Amino acid sequence: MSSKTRFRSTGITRRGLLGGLAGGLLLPRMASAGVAPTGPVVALEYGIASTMLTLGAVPAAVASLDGWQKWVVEPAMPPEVVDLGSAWEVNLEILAGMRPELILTTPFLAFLRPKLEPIAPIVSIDVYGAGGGDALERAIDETVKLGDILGHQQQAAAFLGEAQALFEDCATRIRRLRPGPIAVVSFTDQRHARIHGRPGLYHSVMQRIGVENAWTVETNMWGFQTIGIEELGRLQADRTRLVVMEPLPPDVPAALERSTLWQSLPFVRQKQVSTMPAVLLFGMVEEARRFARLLTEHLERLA
Amino acid sequence: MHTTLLKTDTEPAQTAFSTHGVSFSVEGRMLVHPLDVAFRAGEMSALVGHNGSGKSTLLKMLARQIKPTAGTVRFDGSDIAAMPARAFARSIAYLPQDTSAASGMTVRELVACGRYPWHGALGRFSETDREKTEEALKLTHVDSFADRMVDTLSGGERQRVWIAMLVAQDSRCLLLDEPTSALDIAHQIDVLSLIRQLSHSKGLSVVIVLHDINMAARFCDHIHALKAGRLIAAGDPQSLLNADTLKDIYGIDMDVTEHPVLKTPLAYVV
Amino acid sequence: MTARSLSLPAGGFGAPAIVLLLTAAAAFLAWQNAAPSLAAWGNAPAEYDPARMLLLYSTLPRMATALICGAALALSGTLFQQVLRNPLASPTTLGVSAGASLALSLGVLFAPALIGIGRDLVALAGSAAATALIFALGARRGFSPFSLVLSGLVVSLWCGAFSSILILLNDRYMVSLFIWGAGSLAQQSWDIPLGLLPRIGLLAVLAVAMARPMALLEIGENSAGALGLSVSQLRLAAVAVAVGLAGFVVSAVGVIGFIGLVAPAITRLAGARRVSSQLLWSPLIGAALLWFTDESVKAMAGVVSDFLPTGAVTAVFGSPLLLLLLPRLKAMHRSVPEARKPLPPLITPSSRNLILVFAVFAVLLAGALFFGRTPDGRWTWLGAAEWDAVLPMRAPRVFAALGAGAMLAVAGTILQRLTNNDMASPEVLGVSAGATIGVAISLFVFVSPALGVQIGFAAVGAVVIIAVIFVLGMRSGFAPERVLLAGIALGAMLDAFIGVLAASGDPRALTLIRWMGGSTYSVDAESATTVCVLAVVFILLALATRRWLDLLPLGAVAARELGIPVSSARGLLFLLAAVLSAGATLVVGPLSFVGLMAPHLSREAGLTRALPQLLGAALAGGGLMVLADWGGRMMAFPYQMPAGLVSALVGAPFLIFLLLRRRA
Repeated sequence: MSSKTRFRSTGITRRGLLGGLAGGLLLPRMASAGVAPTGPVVALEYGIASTMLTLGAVPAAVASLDGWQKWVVEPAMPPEVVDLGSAWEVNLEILAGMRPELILTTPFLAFLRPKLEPIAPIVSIDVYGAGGGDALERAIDETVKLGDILGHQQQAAAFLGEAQALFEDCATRIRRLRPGPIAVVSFTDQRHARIHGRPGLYHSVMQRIGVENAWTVETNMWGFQTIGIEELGRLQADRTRLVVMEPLPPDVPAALERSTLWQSLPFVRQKQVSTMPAVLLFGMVEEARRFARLLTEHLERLA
Repeated sequence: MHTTLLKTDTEPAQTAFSTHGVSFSVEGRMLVHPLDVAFRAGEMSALVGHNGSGKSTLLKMLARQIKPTAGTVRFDGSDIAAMPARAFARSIAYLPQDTSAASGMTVRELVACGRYPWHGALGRFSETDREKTEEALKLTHVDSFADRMVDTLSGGERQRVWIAMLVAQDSRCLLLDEPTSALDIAHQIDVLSLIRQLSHSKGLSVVIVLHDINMAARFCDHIHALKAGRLIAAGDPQSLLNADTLKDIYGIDMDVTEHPVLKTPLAYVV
Repeated sequence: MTARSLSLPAGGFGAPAIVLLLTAAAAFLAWQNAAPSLAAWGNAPAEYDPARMLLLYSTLPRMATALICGAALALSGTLFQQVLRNPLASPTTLGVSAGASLALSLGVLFAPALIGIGRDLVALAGSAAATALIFALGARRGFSPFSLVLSGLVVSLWCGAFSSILILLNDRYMVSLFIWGAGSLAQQSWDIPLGLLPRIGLLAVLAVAMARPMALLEIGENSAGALGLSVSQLRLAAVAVAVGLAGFVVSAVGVIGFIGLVAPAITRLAGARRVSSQLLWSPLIGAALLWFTDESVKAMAGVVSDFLPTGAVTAVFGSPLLLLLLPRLKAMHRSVPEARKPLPPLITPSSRNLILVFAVFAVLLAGALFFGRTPDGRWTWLGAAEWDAVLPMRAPRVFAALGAGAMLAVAGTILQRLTNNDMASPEVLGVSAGATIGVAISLFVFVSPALGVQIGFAAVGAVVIIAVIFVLGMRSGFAPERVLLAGIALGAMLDAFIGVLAASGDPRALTLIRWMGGSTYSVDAESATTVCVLAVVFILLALATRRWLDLLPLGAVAARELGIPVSSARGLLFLLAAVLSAGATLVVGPLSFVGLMAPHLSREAGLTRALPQLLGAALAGGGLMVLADWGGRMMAFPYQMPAGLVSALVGAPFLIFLLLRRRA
């Protein structure tokens, strides 16, 4: 069991470094290669589900569907999609009862393979996790792959084209704005925050649209780092702006108000702090697009 | 700050403890039937009886360790249930049958614990407290090992230390639950002599639960005999120790002879 | 008097020396940590000097917080251990952090407005509520240590299970809770230390005021009572102060658990014998220890450039320390376990009732197998047509739950009888912690290991821990208290590890939390069969030790006098309990509430001798686990809750009911 898992994951990560078309190389290994599935396809992860929707394919079932409205918001999920329960313990009785033709999962859920394999063929979509690499590039690769698998190659190409166009557009607008370095944080409580950096999706997008990330420290596999707020004191560069992702815990503003240290930080004194709507952190191209759009609009509004 | 009740020969002995219809029952079983009994002040009174006769239960009610199911206990004429805890402890000291090992304490520290009812949780450990502690150590002859750890002592020494703690407590009354049960004969005599000497020199009222009727006869001024939760006999050793009463108390045939030296009555099993 | 109380017996290395050493080490590290910012001092324009701001508003308040919290927790632990007469008692024992954690989870999810008013107030309210409940339970039994500790344990488990379920259902909301749970000392203002100081100071004064009455406890409750001390009032007051101390700390900075357990232990080992000197030295050692740990954490965080929460790291430091100290730890002056009044049993063991019990059991199994819900949530009995499709998924879970529950219950019964400690349960032994550490390691080696790999690593972890317990235990002749302490130390180390992971935001922490919840999800037909076979074999072996289990609770002396080779008997029984819990842990995870509860259930049902208690516990444990597994699959359908958590959630109130009944 273990050797199989390992083989798969190394294969996937190596592929992650190759260009967009390389996604097809692995397809011959899969039962449904090149042939669009006619039966139900289920997605065990939000990023995959939202990508499916943007490619015009509706998943028959999604894991943790309950939280979609809170965490993903758009694209809207059609009401007939079935909730599979949490991704960690996908409800196998429901899943088997649907007789799916294909299960889309992530390497992170590889431990489920022995449970899923008897039910339907599995394809793993790999954006985060070991192997590193730029999250956006990997997401683009995997979108191509998803388009191939679902028989929605045209939609995928069109969608990626739109996304590239959006990124270009954002990049042009950003060049006009010439913003200083930007640090993106999510506050967890009064004293702590997560700050986003390489190799996460936010960082990739910022790089793509020409925004300098003020946080230059390498973060964890998923592209963020938990810090005490005092560590924001490292952001001393001129014109640094702090962008705070929503939701902001309700007790944080008052606590920051009282903190002499916070008040003394350069971007606070220069009033370079602003908040921005939430974007799913572990997302794919759709989320990248949303982040690029929201960030650019946000900076434009401030300019 | 505290008056010692001196025993005088002329005055008829006052009552230290008296019970009024005191009874105790557990789950419907009567361990002590309603009982009226008085213990005289300044005297050493023994509670005797076979196992389960209710003597320890009675003593625990006197010591307020357990609450009577019905009835009242009076000390010096006032209901003990109404006395504040420390005031009660200043008047009445109690030694349970099973004392703890008091590990991690020196003898002096344990004896000094007896001063708690006087200084309380926050009061200063005063010069009086120190004097009383030292005095108790000397009176009970444990001063020679005052700095040793209690858990390194022998059984007899340990019992003396506990009695020293009761002495330091400086109460007017001692309630002792079989203080000699785990001791050899020499140490039994040693401990009981000590208690009698304390009782007489300091005018302490002592109520003591004893197994051994002869020890009771030898050291106590007064004996109360219980059987199945009822008082069946009371009196001084001379009047109480006779074949009939002993048979009543213990349920076996016994008789009495005279101690060849002390001339006190001496019971034996026939 | 003071001079004497500070003097130490020869041979002890001395509390002052320890305080000095720790403080010096902490100060050295603090200097190292602050050096870069001190070097940069004055390089910036006068109106804004980042180095100065950092020192004044982050470094110094953090130091102050560490010192205050360390002292408060150590003092709290000393109070707990002294009045509850239990060297394992610590602020976590009485549900302080579990209650706070549950309140915070509920607040974050359902009443964010309350969090806005004050996170610390919500946490404090949770601590207070949990403690009030424990007091209410304890009051019925005169605040006896036994009842306080046991109800504390049960309430903690319940709160813990409830908040774990909330976390599993809403993991994305709970980041802040993870950080809180791992106790971070990071500061950006003087708010926290200045807020804590007067509260902790006041409580410390109260604690000192209780020094003398507490010393009286040393001479036994009867004698202390005869000296005019109201033992139950003292215990209530001391526990209240101790809870207050820990509660304020926990509400301000989160869970920093180990100091309260380890600082009092170090203090005693260092020769502080008297209560008054313990009350003095324990907080000093606690303060120095936490400061030292925090400075080490800062130094390490610089190296690994990752977020390290101090509370969790404290346990990583503290656990090995406790293990090292174990051989020197004297058996603590324990109060005599209170005599249990024989109770009218709930079920009299007549043959009619026996049949009834088995009938209920059969219905339970059938229900678990055939009664469920359709994808749209309707309740339904499984039609025969679907058996082939569905039973292969359900049956292994049901039978694995049955076997694992029975094994945990028997292991718990053995441990409770062996140690004479009603708190003992398989997880206290550390075996399940070992298994979980194994899983954690597999997560780091393979990122996403298959279930089979996880179980393999878990088995290795459990075996290693069994070996460690043996090596440690052999030296003490398997003195039960030491074996349990070793288990607790290992468990704390594991919790700490998960705490570090969770606080850093690593999603692998959720895998571990889920594993710890005790889910049967991973079971397949093969492993279910293995579990059931293991259960039968080892439970039969356990039944064969019934004579030992009847006699060992009489104490080592009596048992030896009756011809039991005490050391080897204990060793074998520990081994048996370890193997039983390892077997169960591999399939249903380490949360062995069933192992704590089933022996109590069995005894409350009037089964007091070893053999009937073992059998009754096995039946109760198996049944409870099956029920919990079914409940876990159904209650949030289609979402699934781990059986271990569910068993704690429904089992704890039931156990409390039984405890209350005992008083009537």
